[in-house]
Amino acid sequence: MGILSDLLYPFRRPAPPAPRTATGFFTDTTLCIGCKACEVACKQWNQLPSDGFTFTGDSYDNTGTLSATTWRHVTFAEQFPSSDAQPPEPSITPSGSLDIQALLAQAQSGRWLMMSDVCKHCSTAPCEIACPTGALIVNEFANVYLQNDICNGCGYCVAACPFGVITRSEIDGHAHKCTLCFDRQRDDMIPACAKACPTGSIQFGSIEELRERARKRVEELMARGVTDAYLYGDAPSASYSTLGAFFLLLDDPSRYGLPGNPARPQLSLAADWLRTAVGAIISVAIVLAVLLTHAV
Amino acid sequence: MQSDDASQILPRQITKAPPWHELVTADLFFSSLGAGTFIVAALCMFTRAGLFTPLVRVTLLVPFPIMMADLVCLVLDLGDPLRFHHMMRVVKPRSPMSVGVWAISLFTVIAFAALIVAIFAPSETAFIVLGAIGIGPALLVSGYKGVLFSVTAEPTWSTMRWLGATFSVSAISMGAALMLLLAYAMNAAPAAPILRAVVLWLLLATAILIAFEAFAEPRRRSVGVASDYRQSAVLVTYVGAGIVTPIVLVLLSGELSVLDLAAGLLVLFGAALARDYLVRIPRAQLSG
Repeated sequence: MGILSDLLYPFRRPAPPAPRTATGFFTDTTLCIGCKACEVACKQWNQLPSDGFTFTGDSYDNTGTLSATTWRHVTFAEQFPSSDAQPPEPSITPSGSLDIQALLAQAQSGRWLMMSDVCKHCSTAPCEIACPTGALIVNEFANVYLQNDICNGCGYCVAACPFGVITRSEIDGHAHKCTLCFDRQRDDMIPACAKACPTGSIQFGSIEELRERARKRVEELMARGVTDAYLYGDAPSASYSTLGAFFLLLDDPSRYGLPGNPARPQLSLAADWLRTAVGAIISVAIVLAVLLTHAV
Repeated sequence: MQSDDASQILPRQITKAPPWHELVTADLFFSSLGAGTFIVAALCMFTRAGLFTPLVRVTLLVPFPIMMADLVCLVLDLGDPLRFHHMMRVVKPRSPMSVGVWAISLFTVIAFAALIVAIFAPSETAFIVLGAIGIGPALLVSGYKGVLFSVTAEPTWSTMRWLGATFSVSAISMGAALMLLLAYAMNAAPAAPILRAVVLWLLLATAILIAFEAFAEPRRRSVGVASDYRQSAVLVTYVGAGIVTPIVLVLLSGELSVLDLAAGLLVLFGAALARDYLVRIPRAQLSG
């Protein structure tokens, strides 16, 4: 009975819950201080195991990448003219104290770009389309959610994701990624990472409200002279949908580990099937031609 | 501030390599061989039943065991093999893997029927009917893996637009090679020249597709993968041993001889190498 129940269980389909307000993340990288509170809060709430402790030598990033056991990852990019450059001597007032005004007036010689990376919860998610079991679904909050009791670890979602987010666990053999704290949302709580972020870099809420807020933030930064500020993933491109987790960036997406022009793999699906059919027809034609014309 | 920075703390490749290894290579090999063998056998029955019936009877014993071996690879390759049946929860035409699983399931049933008929009720009519029923699913099985790979975000696979077609041609050449081996084993001399010609033309078609894939504009990044030493060796061995040498051998072969045996084996060996090369591309790029 137990075995039969296990076999039949995945085929049961309860009615899906009614759609609720679509939610998402807006990550303002200008506010990120690289504290990694989001990583810790995510690990703690979702009871994700440690990835070990390795010094990567990559700035302050010893996490490395998003994985089946790391659903938030703070990236660090150091941007300085050269590793030999020395900071200017601090200005000292006649009284011997630090001249703050002179310090603020100095030209910026370098910067760090920090960003808390996460599953993008794409509006048209390649992983969800690729999943052959239906384990990946779009839930009532319009988030891309992986049903852990359905996934069989085929790994196709890993190959489908253009952001390198989803990964198969070596512990249980199933794929895992950010759930956008589905359990917390159902209890009207905000995701653990957004709750823990001390600067407001990770903002959670209605995706429409977040987009509006993000556009105002870009305008505000522009007005203050931060002319490089722009939004990544707030609007669809020719080859990709909007992102449920979008970002305010200051530099090229590749500097943050994001693809500059992501493409949904399934865009070429029909044409690839057509080419495959052409190949099959040519093969059959070759075999038939030989069979029909070859004298014995 | 735009970045003319010296240091950059980011991985070279954004996408992740799927956790696919030797079992997937074996899966690609077995599914191509099973489907290709059935297709060639069916086409032989449609056109030259009188000549091929004895050979096809033996040939039709082969696809079902091969597909069962394929199924074992498919199941064991999963992260959670006990959940293989979850693949049957949904039918998703937009997912090549879902389409492929259903096609393999259907084709395996037909291959089983072919096995039973070949053992217990062999007849020309039965073989032709089975061929007519099974050739559609077999063609789908022969090519879907190419679409499965090309419709991904992986940097090289996603540029290989003719991969499905290449898989299909390659699978059918493997089927012809296996039938040539069976002809050698059964001493079916009259069938051998025809099978040799089929192998020859399909190998040429495979070579053309591979060259097109490698050199079409925009230049495929798959060519760059050959900078990896192991991958380069596999690629060169495949072209030399799996395409060029069998072509030479079938051209040299007159009567049914050991040259046919060698050509058939080399075609299958090359096909296995090519599939291994393909499966390893994402990992080679990450480590390269």
